[in-house]
Amino acid sequence: MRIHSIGFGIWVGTLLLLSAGMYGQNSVQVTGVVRSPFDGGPVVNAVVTATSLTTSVETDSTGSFTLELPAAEGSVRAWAEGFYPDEQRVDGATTLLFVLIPQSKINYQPGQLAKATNVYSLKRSDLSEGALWVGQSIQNRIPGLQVVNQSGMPGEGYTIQARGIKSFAGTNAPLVVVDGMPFFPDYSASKVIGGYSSDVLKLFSSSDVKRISFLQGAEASVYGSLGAGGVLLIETDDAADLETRVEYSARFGLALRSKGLPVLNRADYREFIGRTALTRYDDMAEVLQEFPFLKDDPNYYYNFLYNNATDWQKEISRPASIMDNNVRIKGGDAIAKYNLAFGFLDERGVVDNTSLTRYTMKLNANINVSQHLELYAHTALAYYNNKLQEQGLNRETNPLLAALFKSPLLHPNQKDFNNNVLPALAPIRDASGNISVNNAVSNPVALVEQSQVESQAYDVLMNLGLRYSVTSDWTLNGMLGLYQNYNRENVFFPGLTERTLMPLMEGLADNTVRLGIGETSNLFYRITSDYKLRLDDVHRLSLSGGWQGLQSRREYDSGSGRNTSSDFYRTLGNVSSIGRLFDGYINEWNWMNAYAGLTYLYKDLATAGLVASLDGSSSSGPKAPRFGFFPAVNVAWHLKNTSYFKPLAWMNGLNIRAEAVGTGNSTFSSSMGQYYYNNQVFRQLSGIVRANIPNTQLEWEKSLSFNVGLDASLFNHRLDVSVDFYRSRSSDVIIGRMVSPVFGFASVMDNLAEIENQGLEFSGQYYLLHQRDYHWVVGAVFSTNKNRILSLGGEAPILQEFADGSALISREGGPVYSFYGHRAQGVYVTDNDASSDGYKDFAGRSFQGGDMRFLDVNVDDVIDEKDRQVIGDPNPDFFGSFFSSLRYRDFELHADFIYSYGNTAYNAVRREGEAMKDFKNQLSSVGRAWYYEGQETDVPRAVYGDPMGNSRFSTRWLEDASFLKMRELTLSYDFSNEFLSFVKGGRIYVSGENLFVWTDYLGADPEFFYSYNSAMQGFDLGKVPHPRTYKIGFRLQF
Amino acid sequence: MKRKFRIGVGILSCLLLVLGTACSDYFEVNPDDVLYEKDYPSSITELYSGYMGIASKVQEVADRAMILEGIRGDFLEPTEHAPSEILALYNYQEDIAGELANPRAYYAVVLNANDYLLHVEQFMTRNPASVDRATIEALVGGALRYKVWAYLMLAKLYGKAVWVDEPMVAYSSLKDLPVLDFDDLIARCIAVIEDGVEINGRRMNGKGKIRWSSVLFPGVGDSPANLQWNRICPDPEPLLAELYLFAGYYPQVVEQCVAIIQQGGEESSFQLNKSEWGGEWINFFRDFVRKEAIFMFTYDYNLKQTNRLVPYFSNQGPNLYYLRPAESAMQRFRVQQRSDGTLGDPSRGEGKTFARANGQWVVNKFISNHAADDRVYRADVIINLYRAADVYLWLVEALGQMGRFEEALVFLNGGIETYFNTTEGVFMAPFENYPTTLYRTSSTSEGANQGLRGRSLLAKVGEEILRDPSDDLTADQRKLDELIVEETILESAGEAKALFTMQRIARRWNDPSILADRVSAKYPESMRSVIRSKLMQPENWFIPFDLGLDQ
Repeated sequence: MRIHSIGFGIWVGTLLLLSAGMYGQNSVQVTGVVRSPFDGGPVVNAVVTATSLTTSVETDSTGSFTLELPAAEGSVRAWAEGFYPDEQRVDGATTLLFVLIPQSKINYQPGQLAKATNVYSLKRSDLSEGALWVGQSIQNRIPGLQVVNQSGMPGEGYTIQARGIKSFAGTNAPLVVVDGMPFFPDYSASKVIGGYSSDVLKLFSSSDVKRISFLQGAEASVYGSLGAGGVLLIETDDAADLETRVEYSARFGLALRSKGLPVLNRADYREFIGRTALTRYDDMAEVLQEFPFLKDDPNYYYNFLYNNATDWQKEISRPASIMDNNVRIKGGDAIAKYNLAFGFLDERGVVDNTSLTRYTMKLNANINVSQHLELYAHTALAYYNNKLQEQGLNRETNPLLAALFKSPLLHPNQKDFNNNVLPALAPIRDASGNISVNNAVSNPVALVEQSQVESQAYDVLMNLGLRYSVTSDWTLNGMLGLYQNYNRENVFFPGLTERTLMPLMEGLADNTVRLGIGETSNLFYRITSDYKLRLDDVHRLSLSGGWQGLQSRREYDSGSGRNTSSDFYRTLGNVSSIGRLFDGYINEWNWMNAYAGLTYLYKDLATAGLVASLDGSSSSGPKAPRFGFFPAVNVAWHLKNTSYFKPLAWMNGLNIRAEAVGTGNSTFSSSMGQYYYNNQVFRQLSGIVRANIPNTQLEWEKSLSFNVGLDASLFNHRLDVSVDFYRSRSSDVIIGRMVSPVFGFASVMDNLAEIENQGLEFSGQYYLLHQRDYHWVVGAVFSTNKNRILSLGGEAPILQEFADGSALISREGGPVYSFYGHRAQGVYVTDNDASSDGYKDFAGRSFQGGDMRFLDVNVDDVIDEKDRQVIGDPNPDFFGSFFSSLRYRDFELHADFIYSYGNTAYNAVRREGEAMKDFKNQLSSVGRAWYYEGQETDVPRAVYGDPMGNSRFSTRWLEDASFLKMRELTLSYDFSNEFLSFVKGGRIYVSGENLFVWTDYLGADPEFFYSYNSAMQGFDLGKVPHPRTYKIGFRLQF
Repeated sequence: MKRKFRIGVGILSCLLLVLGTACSDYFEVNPDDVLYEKDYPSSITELYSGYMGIASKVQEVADRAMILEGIRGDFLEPTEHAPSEILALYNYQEDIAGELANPRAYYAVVLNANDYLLHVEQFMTRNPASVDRATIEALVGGALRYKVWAYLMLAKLYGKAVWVDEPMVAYSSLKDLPVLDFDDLIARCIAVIEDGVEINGRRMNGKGKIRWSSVLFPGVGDSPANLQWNRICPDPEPLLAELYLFAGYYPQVVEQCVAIIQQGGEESSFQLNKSEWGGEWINFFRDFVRKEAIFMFTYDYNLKQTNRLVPYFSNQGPNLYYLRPAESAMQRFRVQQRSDGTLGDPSRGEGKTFARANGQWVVNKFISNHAADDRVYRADVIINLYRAADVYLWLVEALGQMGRFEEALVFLNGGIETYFNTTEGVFMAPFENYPTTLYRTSSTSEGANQGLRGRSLLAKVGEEILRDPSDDLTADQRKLDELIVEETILESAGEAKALFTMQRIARRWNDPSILADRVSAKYPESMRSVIRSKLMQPENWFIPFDLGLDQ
């Protein structure tokens, strides 16, 4: 508030000086009313002034004012305590109406109603209190921005995509710019920790953020070949005040696991084994030898081993604590201002022994070196210690999968013959060291207690800049920034001493060691010039230009080995010489850009802008043009300021926009366009081999998007609506041109494809109640995207096949990355049903009663891979969020929901749990498995090895993963009264996250993303589901 | 104002100057894990590495023909675990696709060889005096032979190939490149070795050899491990012998075979003597046997060098067990007559070439050393692409075509021990021109050459050709050829030889039944006649893989 007072005072003073020479001319009387949006009531004592006056007036008890102006021109500005100032052009009018917007208004930014391009911003107070992470705080809250929490594993990230998938070779994530510096983290999934992708933005918590803006319009064009996915601007909290303030904020919480998946209980598991074992073994005696628990005699010798009913999912989970503490000191004087913050966070995961500990230090400083020269610096340091577990379809090491598939008859701990539970965990091997057929699943409790899956990392992000004000209208700005990340991941799975885990590396690894070290560094520099030109009262011009460059390097090195001499030794130095493997990569990527922009504003009625950038990157082939030209134009018509709309009291803002934006994508490997060689070791010697058929003319991908938008504020600013329709066409998209085997390679990378994305984005909110002491506002964000491949340049559809037989296809006319597999059409009820179809598999085996019926697409009576077709689209039809905020005086109840509709998911975990092809425990749904002639069911027969491929990748495993989730419910109380003599105010709140989920999805959680790779959207591969979280927190100001 | 403007421009200029330093190199990043073409080769060491690069590509593809020939030939049949691609190959379907049947890996050898030759020339142009001529000729000769070997395999498997001499520096249409049929490929391959290429104004043929054991381990005495390095590239003699045999140049075949038998004198005379390795024929596939292995690759599981033989043939989990020996193929070993009159091939039959494991028949020959727990997953079986037995089979075939039946049958059966005049230390007629190392070397006992069947303790065959020659020479030649086919099937089962011998001999006698009968015998009754009918058409012998030349 104090800031606005000072700022307004300076502004008024300037106006007084400028208008000093205007006395003595013929005056015009302008009257008006200043209202609040609280039922349109008057704002008393609002300060009203005009550009042509040196004095100001205050409104009376009816909110009215009268100004004597030298002429009916210029602008009049109204402001009152607790409100944002508002300014209107006179343009001959003699009456003016101001409806001021209170600073408490949710999701509002000054200037929002006159925006000329598609930009959407959230300020700190708009972000949810309970959110720990940046990704969490913006989840589906920005139109067009799809933000998916990858998992409930502490430290995992959020996959962010904007306006659909546009690239196969480059990233589809928006460019992240932190405090003016493009931020290029390593988005790769871990090479040593299965299913783990670190949160690349975990350097920041939501409490560090001052404002987050998302640019999809002409302003994104400034970033040229980096801007195709939009630009996410993160501004961290800085020192804006001269008064020294100390703030302490803390959050404490408890996370509880979700219910888990239903698995066969003790009795059903025995029945399942009884049936399946007879399809593997020839006689019952052999079956009873392998599965002694099937004997009817409860007194058999080994009964103590199998007389349990273990809920393994419960055994590996725990209620987990969350603690987040931040101390912030802001202050300074007229010369220097600073914002120093320290943080400590300890987030435990609901899977036992998982956690993230983070220590942070941030310093933002501004120093006025002279009247014209300002030095600014942003520094953020963080150290992380992450304890993890493997995820993904790692059957031996993912504790979630082990918990699903471990026999419920077994106990986590060893037992003696008298059925006493011993402290040691139960091994999977018998006394002879062999793995029992009935126990061939890792002990899940041992996985979480004995394995070591860790990551230690640090981030350093700093930039230093000089801002030189050549004149009051002309500023030069130079910045140098550095980002450095070091990440060390180490994994140890025991097994030699403890014998509790299934061996890895094809059964050879009694214990396993892995180590990976990644380093990422970015060096950024930028010089800009901004000039504002006010030709007269009618024409305003802004000119900007700049030059910027980014050098990025990522290196990752990993090693793995097996069989140290005992589980005590856990380093690579102790592994056996046989089985050592090493891997790694280096990516270097440089970018340079020069841009110029011009914005013209005519009488607050219309804005026109032009931005052009010249941009080059190291990823262009050596024979391709080095620099690309990326232009953008935008126009906006501020209709509210027209003579027609201006008098309408119910119309507080109306704005239509149109823009055409050229951006690109050069975020692919610098080697891709090179003629180069790899090292292929021959025996023990280095061998130089051709790496590709070079396409040295490979160039950046281009995107041209058209956007029309409308922003409106109605009914005393109670209703705010913003709608955008866009269509973008990405051309020269890089794909592999499939080439003849004669080339010695399968494909040559080329700029061949065209992809179209179009959609509608909506954001709006409505104050159902709006008074000074209370309000109730509801709002929603809604985004659609229809993704379509227009052309693959004459190439065949791009088929990506995975190890488990699942596949994705990208073909012309369809979306990128559609699921491609068989269409299941139910279960044959009888043998006759099957024989009437007469289908055989590729090996000539006939389907029988109880087998799945698959669609014979090519009608050749053979069910094989030629019968695959497009069976699902992982892209949602629409997604977004909505909220409700109810406030009474200092209390606020805020509910936040996110949703996604129409996205298909591949439930690979259910596939594992219903395949019935071995003796692992299965989901309870296999209780419906076909067992007798005439049985009508949707689950096929259980046959060891699944010889007919009933569990092949098909529509059987694809599900509608639409969901509606209550992401957060928060009750908060703000207090401004001083207590304990040193606390000046603050907030206290309780919140719950993920409290309710409405979905038909059969997996553990419908919200998941395997990694940052867009192709993995829709693959549910056994990630940790998001826990329900309860938090209590407070923020105190001293 | 002007002053401020100047200051602003000054600051801007300074920053541009500082930050834009070395702008010309700015976009040319050069990460340490790749080598750009413009930087290669920078030294003789990199020339050696380029050579090893071609070798690594051959190593990568070495197992492919063994699997494909076994499936398409008489030896292998798919198990119930086999994927659809193997079934399509086995069933001689017309729409063959998939990675196993794809000839890309052979063309990758050609690509790397062509690329290497180009860069050798560039290096020699830039550094004409940096390497001696013999070394360059050896490197060039090796690269040419790798290329020829790849084309020979393409000819044998696919019956045709696109001939490429350019290093494919960019994607372009293939329409102007010649597609050569089998005979043209053989002729072109011979020409490449004999005539070679021009490097920096000098013609270099494909016969140059380099003794890697000396280059890599200078001053170190030969050891079995070192000597393996001399077998990583096919010597010109065996490669030419096989090419000449396909081309019908039989005297040249004999010349090349004798040359390779004699090659290296004491080091590696290829005597056809199993006593050198404990009398175990199967050891040829377990370890490096220097008197048997001529062109071979070892693999190192730890260095990511593996092949598919163990995964495809072993039935111990988690191996895939895609292929097993066909019953008809196993039966051939069982009916062989031993020299003592009993039945069964004791050196190569049950327990050797094939065996019973876990209740199932498996191809044992290559995986017999991989049954132990710590080896069952190590897909690093050694692969012999040429071994002594191949040379002798070619020699027998060429001698037969030259009417020299006595020599042929001696090498096929019991060896030439009885033809050695121990008094004068020379062989008697008709073996007077054969090297004496076939009788004895300083490191081997007397009577080193035991003949193909002799060293397998099998009875002699075809003696009636000598005892009771036919009036029609060609009848005896055909009889011998049929014996060669039968012996190749036994000796070289699964080694990518037998089917191609059948093709050659069936073409020679214009009688596809020589191949069709033997191959179709392994199919179930219901399929046998269909497969036989297909194989009676020689155009169906080859894998019909679409090369996509219309692009």
